[in-house]
Amino acid sequence: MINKALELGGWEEDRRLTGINGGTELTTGFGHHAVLGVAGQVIEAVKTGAIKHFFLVGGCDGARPGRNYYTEFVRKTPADTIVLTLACGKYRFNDLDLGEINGLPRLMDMGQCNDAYSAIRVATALAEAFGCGVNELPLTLVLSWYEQKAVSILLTLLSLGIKNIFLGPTLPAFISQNVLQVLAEKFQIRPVSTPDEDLKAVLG
Amino acid sequence: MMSNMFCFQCEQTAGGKGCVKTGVCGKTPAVANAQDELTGALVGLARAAENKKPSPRADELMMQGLFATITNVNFDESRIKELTALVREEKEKLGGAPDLPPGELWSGDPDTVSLRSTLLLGIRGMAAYAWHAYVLGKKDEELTAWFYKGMRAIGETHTVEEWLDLLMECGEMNLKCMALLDAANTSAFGHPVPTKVSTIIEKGPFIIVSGHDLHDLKQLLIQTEGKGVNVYTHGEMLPAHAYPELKKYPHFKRQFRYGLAKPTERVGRCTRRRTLHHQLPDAAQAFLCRPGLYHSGRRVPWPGPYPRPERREGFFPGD
Repeated sequence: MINKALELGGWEEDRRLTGINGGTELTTGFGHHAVLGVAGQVIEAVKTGAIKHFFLVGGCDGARPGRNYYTEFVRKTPADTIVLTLACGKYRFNDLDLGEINGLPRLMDMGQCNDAYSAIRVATALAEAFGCGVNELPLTLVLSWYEQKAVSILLTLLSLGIKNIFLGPTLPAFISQNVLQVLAEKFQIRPVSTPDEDLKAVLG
Repeated sequence: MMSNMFCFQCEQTAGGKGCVKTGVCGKTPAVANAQDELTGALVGLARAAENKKPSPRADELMMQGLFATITNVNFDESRIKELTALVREEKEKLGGAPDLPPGELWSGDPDTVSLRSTLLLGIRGMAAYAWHAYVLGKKDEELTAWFYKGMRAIGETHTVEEWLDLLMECGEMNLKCMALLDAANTSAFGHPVPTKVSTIIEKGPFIIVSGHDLHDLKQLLIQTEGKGVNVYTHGEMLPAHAYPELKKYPHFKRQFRYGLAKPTERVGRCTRRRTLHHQLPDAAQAFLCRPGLYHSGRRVPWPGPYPRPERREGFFPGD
């Protein structure tokens, strides 16, 4: 394979490829170690009101129309909110420059989908710091799913008792009406609607 | 219309209901049915292993077998059948037990099918993570044992409450599994540090790596060192740039665009309206290479010529 690559020689000039929104620079690496390393800074920013809310916008990407929901959602998040992300759903918005809050980037990529573990670690640590449960944090999960790894992560989040998850872009075909009703009653899980409506539902 | 197969495990399933003619992902009915049979055989293995100590080989096959049924991971009927035969061999070594007839996987009243399927798909997803951790030398006995428990449960009848409890247990196990993979990744490659990654691709030879497998990426980085070939990431490989033990290689740089490619912006000649990330056979471990598609250094497990003409030529960056 290496010889094949050498034989073919690649392109003759640099090529300016971009992200989905035209950006050419992505930042990654905000795993639990990095984020908890600046936990003091994050907690301070919440206490002073510089950070009003956290969103975790993550999950899988896919090809069906409707996934621009996630681009629009992130674009429309207010300047005093932080967007954590993970997995390949982030390609819908990870080339956007959302700026910073007190030196903290507003958009932090925590890694691959299995790094949902990092998100859980961070959420748990924040809840501890504020002496509350994860559901009482100013944190909303907006998830996109495509395949089965996302199913296992969703089950993990539910097993931790995490409520009010927004799930999209469509609900799984394998969730029957009755099962959906049970999940909605137990966990207040709901399908995404429009970025404006969902942001309003969360932030008021 | 006669149904040739049944699969509704991904978000893009036909009509939002289920693929019955052929898979939207490109999976043929033969592959889908072979995967159902493999799943039934894994239930058989789990039954045979009850109150016994399965061999490490059986554990491997449990994870591999489940992983092979995930969307876009394996399209090769002969490989799926080979795995099924190996699973049955291990089952016999444990004293044997009946497989779950594949027809029973997706049948029953809609709510039972829904709960059973959610559990099975959750177990499949978890198996991918367990396998990635295993490749890096991390295995957890409780987690491994739970795969057997979960797969036995797939072949049993339960009340709604029992199914819900099983789903929660699966979620708890998956947290353990993700923690294991986190430990595997961070002990092998260090803790990720915030890293900026450019999407501007340099001139000269390159290999694009997609998927999840950091271990495979590391092997490729070692083998390409000093050879004049750059290595770029694609899709879910982007976070690899943040790991100290991977980012230290000077020829490891840049992200090849994003997960999704619009038809007019493809790196390849593919014309189907699909995501690049998801249309790859074995997206979980695929190596993209011009002009071919390689899987862990070998050609992807796709039987014979690509079944769709537009896929025959693979991916040609630069076309």
